Amino acid sequence: MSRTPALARDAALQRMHRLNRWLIAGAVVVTGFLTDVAAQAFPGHTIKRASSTTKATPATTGHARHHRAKHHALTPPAQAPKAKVTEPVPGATANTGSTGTGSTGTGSTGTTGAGSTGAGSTGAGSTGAGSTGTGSTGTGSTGAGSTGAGSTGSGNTGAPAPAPAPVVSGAS
Amino acid sequence: MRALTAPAPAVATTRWTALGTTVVLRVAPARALMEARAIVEDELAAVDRACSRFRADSELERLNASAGRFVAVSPLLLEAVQAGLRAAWLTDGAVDPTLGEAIVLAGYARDFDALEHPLPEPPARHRPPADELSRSGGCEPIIGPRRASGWKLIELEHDSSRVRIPAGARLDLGATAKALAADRAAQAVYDASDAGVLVSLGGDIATAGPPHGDGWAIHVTDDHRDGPQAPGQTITIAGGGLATSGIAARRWVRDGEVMHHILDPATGEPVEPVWRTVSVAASSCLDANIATTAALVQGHSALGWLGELGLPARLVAVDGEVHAVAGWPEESSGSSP
Repeated sequence: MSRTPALARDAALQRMHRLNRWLIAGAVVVTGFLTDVAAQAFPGHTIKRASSTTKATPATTGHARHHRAKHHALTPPAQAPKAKVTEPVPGATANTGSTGTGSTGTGSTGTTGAGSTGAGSTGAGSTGAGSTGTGSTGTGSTGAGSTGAGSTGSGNTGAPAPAPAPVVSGAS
Repeated sequence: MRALTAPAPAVATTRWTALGTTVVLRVAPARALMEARAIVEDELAAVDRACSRFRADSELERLNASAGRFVAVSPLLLEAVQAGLRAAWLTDGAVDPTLGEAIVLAGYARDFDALEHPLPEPPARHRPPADELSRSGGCEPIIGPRRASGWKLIELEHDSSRVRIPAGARLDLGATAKALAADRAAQAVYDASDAGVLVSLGGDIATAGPPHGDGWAIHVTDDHRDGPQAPGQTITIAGGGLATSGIAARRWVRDGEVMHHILDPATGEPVEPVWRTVSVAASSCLDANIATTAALVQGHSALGWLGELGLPARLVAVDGEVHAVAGWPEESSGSSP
């Protein structure tokens, strides 16, 4: 008669023991998880002493600081420069103020003729479509280089836009 | 009947004067030009207020006047000083931001256009004779200013945005600040408009965004004020920056001596003319400008230095001989130094 309650008590204690072990293991896991979450949410930082209170000699201070600084090396471009290919047209010279399309011209001024010639003619009413001039001289790869008044690509018909004059890079 | 309509311009260019030099702005597509110009003008005005040594009210002059003490500076000037220090560090002092006093003593104290004796003739040698050097210990300049390499003594406080330059020193951020301005302006235009953009400040060129066509066409020559017909070479770059430095421009006469603005930090006087002009392509205009200035100071050893860094470069010797380094395209038959 007393045997049954004792067995029941032992069985209950065993269950509690197992339960405790699970609770402890679970608590460890949950604590770790929460620690990780907190670490992510509230990142810490190193406490530094105020730099203005540095008492080292200026030479030492500046030199040491600069040695610690990170300097990225000089970096080449993603692509090396390429030679600009220009195809001079035999006998062609730059046009000034010419309009229209057509065959290769010979550098007439203010007349119809040739878009394809006179590379970089950027004057008013220059041939080709859509180059926006700046009033500067043309590239003049052939001929004298046209000069113009800074057109904005109006009144053009059909011909491909001439390449703008290259930007000059020289010492300043 | 088909209406004739002009296609939208693919590229637009404008130019004006700022920071004492010529600004060229090219954008693709052309419709971005007006907005781009406003952005670049704002950027250059900010750089001028922060970094000019020709403006008494600039932040830089305030910093120079307070040498020896920490001075709170704007983020822009802090960035410019950092850029100058980086240049000095990477070139072992060949590009030195503390040459301000030396260049003033050399006679370049005002905007170049205001100098009394600008000089159009070819450069001359400025080095004192060897016997004079030996009499003076071999390192002190005979003419002109003292040695002025104090960049290692500059202190920066990033957190509080403060700078201290050593007492007696003057910063001259001219070269690096201009290149930095070009980079910042180009990037600002691209960020605002998504347009491909090229910004040239006196021939120091920065690009951002997609290039126009096969690449931005650039003619390298001695002086940026020359036209694209001037002797030189025309190339294209797909991105990054390109700078040209030389001793053919910005020369003047001081006490009968021919001076130019590229100083050797080791002596404080104009560099010995080995290279007439150096052009370098790099990932940014700032890096390109650092390399060109350092190459002029280094002289003959610049060829190996640029090659080791893999920076494509074109160096024109004083006798006109052209050297191409690290993938710089060979001269075509039509090119000339």
